[in-house]
Amino acid sequence: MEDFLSNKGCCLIRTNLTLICLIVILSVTVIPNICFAQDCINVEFLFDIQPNADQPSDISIGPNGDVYLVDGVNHRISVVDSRGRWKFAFGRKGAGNGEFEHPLGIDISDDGKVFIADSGNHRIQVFDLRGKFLYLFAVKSGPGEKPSDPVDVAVSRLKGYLYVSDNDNHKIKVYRQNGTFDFEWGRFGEGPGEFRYPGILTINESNEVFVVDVLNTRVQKFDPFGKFIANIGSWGVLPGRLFRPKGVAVDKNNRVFISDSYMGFIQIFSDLGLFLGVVCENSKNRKFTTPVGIVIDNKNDRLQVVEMRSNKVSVLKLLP
Amino acid sequence: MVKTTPWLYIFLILASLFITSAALAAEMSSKRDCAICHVMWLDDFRTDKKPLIEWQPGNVLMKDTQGVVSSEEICYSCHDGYVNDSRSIVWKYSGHKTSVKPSSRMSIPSTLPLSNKGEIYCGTCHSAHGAGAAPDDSGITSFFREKNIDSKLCAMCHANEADFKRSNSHPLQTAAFDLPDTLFKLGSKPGTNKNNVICQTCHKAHGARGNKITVVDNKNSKLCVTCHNGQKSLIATKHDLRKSFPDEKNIKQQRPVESGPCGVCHLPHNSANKRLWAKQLPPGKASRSRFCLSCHRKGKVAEKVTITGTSHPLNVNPFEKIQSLAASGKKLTLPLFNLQGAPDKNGNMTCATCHDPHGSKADSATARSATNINSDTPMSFLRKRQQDICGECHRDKNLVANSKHDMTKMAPETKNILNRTPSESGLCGSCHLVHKGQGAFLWAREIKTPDENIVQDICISCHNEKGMAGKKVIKDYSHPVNVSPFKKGMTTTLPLFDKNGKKSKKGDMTCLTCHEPHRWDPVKNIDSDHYDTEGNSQNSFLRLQASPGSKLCGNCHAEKAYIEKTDHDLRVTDSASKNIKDQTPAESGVCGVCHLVHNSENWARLWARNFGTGENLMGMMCNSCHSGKGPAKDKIPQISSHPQDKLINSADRNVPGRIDFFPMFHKSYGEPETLGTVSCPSCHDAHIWDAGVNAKGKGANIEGDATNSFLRSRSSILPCKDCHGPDGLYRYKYFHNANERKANMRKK
Repeated sequence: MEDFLSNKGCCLIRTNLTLICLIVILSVTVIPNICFAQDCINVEFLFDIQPNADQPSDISIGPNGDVYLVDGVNHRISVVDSRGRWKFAFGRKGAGNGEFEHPLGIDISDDGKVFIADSGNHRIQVFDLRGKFLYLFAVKSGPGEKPSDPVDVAVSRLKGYLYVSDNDNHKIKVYRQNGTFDFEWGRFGEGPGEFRYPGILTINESNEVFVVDVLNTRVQKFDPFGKFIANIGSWGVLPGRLFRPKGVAVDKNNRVFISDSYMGFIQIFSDLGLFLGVVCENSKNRKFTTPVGIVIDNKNDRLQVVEMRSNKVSVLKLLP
Repeated sequence: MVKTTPWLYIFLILASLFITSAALAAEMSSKRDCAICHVMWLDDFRTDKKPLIEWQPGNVLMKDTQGVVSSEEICYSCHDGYVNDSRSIVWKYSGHKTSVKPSSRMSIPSTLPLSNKGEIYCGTCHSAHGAGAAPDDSGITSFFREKNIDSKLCAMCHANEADFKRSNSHPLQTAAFDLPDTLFKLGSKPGTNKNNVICQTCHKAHGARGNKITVVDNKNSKLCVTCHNGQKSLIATKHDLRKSFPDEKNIKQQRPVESGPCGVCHLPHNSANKRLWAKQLPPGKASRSRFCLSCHRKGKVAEKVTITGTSHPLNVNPFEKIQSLAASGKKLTLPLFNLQGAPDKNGNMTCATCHDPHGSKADSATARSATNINSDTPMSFLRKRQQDICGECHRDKNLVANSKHDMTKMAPETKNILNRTPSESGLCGSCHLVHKGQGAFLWAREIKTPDENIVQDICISCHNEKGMAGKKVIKDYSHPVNVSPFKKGMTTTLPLFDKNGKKSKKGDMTCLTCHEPHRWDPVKNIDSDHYDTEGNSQNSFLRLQASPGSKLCGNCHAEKAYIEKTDHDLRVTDSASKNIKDQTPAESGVCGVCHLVHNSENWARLWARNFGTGENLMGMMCNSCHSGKGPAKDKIPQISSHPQDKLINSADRNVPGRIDFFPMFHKSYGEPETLGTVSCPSCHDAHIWDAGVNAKGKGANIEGDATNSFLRSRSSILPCKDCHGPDGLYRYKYFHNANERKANMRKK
């Protein structure tokens, strides 16, 4: 043994072992932290939209540039123009056509159909841009499932798919625009394609689906048919980590913006999960009050953030 | 080796990364579940990197003490709709107070911790680890520290309210009636027994719509009347003080607009007295009526509607006071109350017996004008129509309806002292005022000739020349009133009254002794119209019939009633004869043949016939009949007078009841006297055929002899002897026949 240790080969091994240990230590400590380096994506505050809402949740922009805000506690959708001026509202509490029960989510198709996740009524309602009721369909629960809890809906250009996040059943349910159920994926869990309370959805230009997985503190990216692609964000409170992700939006550069309602920040990732930075103002982290639904107005390079407990929408300019 | 080393390094690096990540992932799950709430437990705070949020030291590891973990922000981060939607329940509407110190009167159990500031916080009631963290029967997980079955968790702190009897609070854990479904639709939580009242029947710790975290806004008492629907009719009445007295405050210094219409008088917790009373009760004996007097007394908010003057008696049991009611064996539909104010069928009459302070259907028209206080009437808030109210206890008075004493029929234009017509005052209110009445009878009419006796006063208030009963006026030469039969040695079952109108066995004879003004006919119960019927001696509101027999008169003048069916009962001997009122014996009654109770033409003995001839008034009365054209024309004595110049002293014998009773009467006035002249009634008592029998007659015209023939005395010790010696016996026996008298004397 001593001989073995005393020869050159032994020295080489010792050197290698030292190097290996060093590499292992670095891999555990330094390399991961490279991902957490704070970076700022600067924005400029433009104005607030304060449409007399009560704990609004989600937002969408119509083809005409109007902003549609889900004012769910008031059981209505409020509409303002691109400068935040009040236009009109539609809906009231109830279970009839055009009536809502604590709606949470919204999306608007290119052809101007407004899709509302009417959560308390377990259904999706469809309106035109002026708030005229068009039709609705129920989000049904499968055997053994809880009553459906559709908290968001996203409309895809691919086959006009409507992706509905069923929060209480931890599934994404996919419908045709006429309300016909097509397919679904997901179950309760922490693995890829599994959810713990899926929330807000968004779809990028490639028709890929991004799902906020609230209690798994991540956004999952899927192909249009539910095949898992990537996790974006991880668990924690360091930059690049998420504690209560709520809103997700994708800009024209395929950057993924994720709001965290507890921490009050919006962080930006690549569509494969690489942390890019925190939304900042004057190079300082921009703090929001319970940011939830977010939307990016690519035409105007604006980021619009629903701040639930402030009952407002912050409109920010995305700086180059 | 050299060539392979870089690849080895790369492999090792990747392997180490994988192993590390896998190890972290395996460890993550349990840690992550805790850190979902316990954010400060995250290892991210224990690195040299700057986290996005600040580390908040303190309390993080302190058991049962508020830290970030139970901050509102942590709760809201899940309850914003994206795990559970509690936005409306917790953050839109009212909820249990937090960030305040509990009242010093409260004792907070150690199992329900306060924050390190001693304040209530979410974690005081909620914990993910508590005994109540499991889903309840309805599948809802409320994360309570203790199971909240039937509001037991609430009672752990609110022990005073839960001990409702001690704290004069709304009953809990009991079911007085079926709770309505509408209550639960409002948001009330049913107890294990659906009908038991629990804290959550009225309150919601989260999502409450009203002040004091009531299920709904209770400023209009919506919550109260959901169960107490019968009291809903109070709204917009004068007892809805929001409009009538908006500045009045309850003991919690709440104005009506704050307390709601119910809260003006009732507080669900820590009230001033029984009945959840929200006012200070006036001093005095325990009674339901005291609650009313909280406001309806001088210096209080309803002093304009105080009970002044003479009012209906309170705190009496009507079954004990009203014989006819007790005898009827029927129950009242109006409530009686015990001393604590609770309904009790054996209790007493109180204000609330007649009045429903919450408004009733019967008086909705009179009680509705909540702002016009001065429009109040004595009929306000009555439980029934006034006459129905009175008639509940005074059932024997109901027959006044449709009679001559029904003012709605007889004198609809007249007004009582409150300037109300009969239609306004009601059947009974024409003559009686339950409040502010006059005298014992709560008289409602103007008393024009106040006299010694209230009974006479009230009758005369109508029965006077200018009164509404001007055609039925009692004039001179009528039966005396305000005299005591008792003092005259009489007994009677008819009512006698003292000066104040109170019944008294030793009281005076009054109108009401013979008359019952509420009942036209003493025998028949007449409820149809009979107000235009002319009366006779069988009705006319008499308590007993005065004809054909002598029931009424004989009730006092019992010894006079022996006249019935004797020769002096003209129904027997001359039924066609008529008195001066042109009444036959059948119409006038046996007594009315000779005496008129009211308005006789003759003051003496209220004589009802034309006097006969003679020098002595008493004899003239006898001669009314014992004369040539009279009914007793066959019984005309040859001699019927004793020398009027002979004064007889009858001091020893002028004592009624003595066997040798021999009264004297003034020859002109007929008044009894001891030294006087002999007249017919000295020897005869016209009312008793046989003084030895004291019985009514046999209904046949019988020929008499010296042992009967209405003779008073059965004694041989006659006053005749005083002057005439032994001859006196013959002079007595053959008094009416001088020949016989002399013949017999000669025989002797």
